[in-house]
Amino acid sequence: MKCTDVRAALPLLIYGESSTEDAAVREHLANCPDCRREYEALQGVRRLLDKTSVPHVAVDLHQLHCSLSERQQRREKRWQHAALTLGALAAALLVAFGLHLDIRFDASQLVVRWGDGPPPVAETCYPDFAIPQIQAVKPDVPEELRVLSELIHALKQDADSRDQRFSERLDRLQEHVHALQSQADLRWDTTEKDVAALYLLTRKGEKP
Amino acid sequence: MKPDLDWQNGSSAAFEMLVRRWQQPVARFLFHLVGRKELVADLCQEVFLRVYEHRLRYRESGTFAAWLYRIALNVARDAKRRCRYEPRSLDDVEPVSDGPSPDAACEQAECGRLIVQSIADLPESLRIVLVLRHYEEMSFDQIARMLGEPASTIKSRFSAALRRLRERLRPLCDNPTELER
Repeated sequence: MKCTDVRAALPLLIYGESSTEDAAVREHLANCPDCRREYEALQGVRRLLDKTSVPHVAVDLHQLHCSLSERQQRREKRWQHAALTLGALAAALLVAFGLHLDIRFDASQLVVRWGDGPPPVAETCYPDFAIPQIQAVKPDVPEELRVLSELIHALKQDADSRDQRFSERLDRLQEHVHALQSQADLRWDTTEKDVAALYLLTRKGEKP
Repeated sequence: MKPDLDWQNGSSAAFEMLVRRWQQPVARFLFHLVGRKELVADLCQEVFLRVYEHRLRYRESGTFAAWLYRIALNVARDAKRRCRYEPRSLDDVEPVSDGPSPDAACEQAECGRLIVQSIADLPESLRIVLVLRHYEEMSFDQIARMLGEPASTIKSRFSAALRRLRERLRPLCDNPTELER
């Protein structure tokens, strides 16, 4: 056997771990002073390891039971907290679902809404300016253009109808002005005749 | 050795007997594993707390000592994580001078301190195997089952641990005749 193999086997040999090579190792040790020195040194290590003094320890059973009870209480408290948290969470979820809660951030405002939302705004509020409702659901350019076109058309129609109404009113006003004009002319003629008649009467009275 | 199993059913007397029987082996195991005398009592207390808490998990089919040392090992590891204790380096320990004899050093308690420190300085994987084999006298097969490693690995770790200690303790080992005193 080689010295390296023997030295590798020495720790287990010292601790009585039998192997098939024990006899060969012992024979080698008998003839090799270096390996024997190593063997003795390792035995010395084994003896040294027994020279440590272990502190004497006495477990305090009373303290141990106190610690057990404290841990039990802590564990129960943790469970209670967990149960409360879960209960609160479940209640919050129920309320949220039950009330159809809707929380969202809109432009510069926080919207909290419950229920089915407010009724839709009646279009009769602004009959003259009935603008088609535009909902920006998703960026759909052709759809937006179509809606914009409808809006322009509606505005144009609205403008046309207003223009027509103004035109009719002006016509009526003009007719009224014409009527007033003719009435004024008629009155002026009558007044002139009256004045002429009075003048004649006055002249006749001066020449008796 | 199997303890009286009444302790598993909550018998205080049986548990007290178990504690009295195993407190010193557990203290020895923890002391050599941690290398800090001042921590041993608290760690030992924690070990038996866990033993009581997890008593129903122990199955009679396994070795009680292996189960107990497994708990002690976990406690030591947790303590290391929590406290970040580090074994003091050998450089901090007064070196063994060539002048005084090893016996004299032992008489001054330096020898024991140096040995404990040398064990504490070993890597954990080597230290555990050395402590279980040397101090707790567990067989390599038992250690292998406890740590879930092959027996051949355990044996090679043990050999490595002993060789490292031989290097560390060379000044003491090279005077075997004086150690016999």
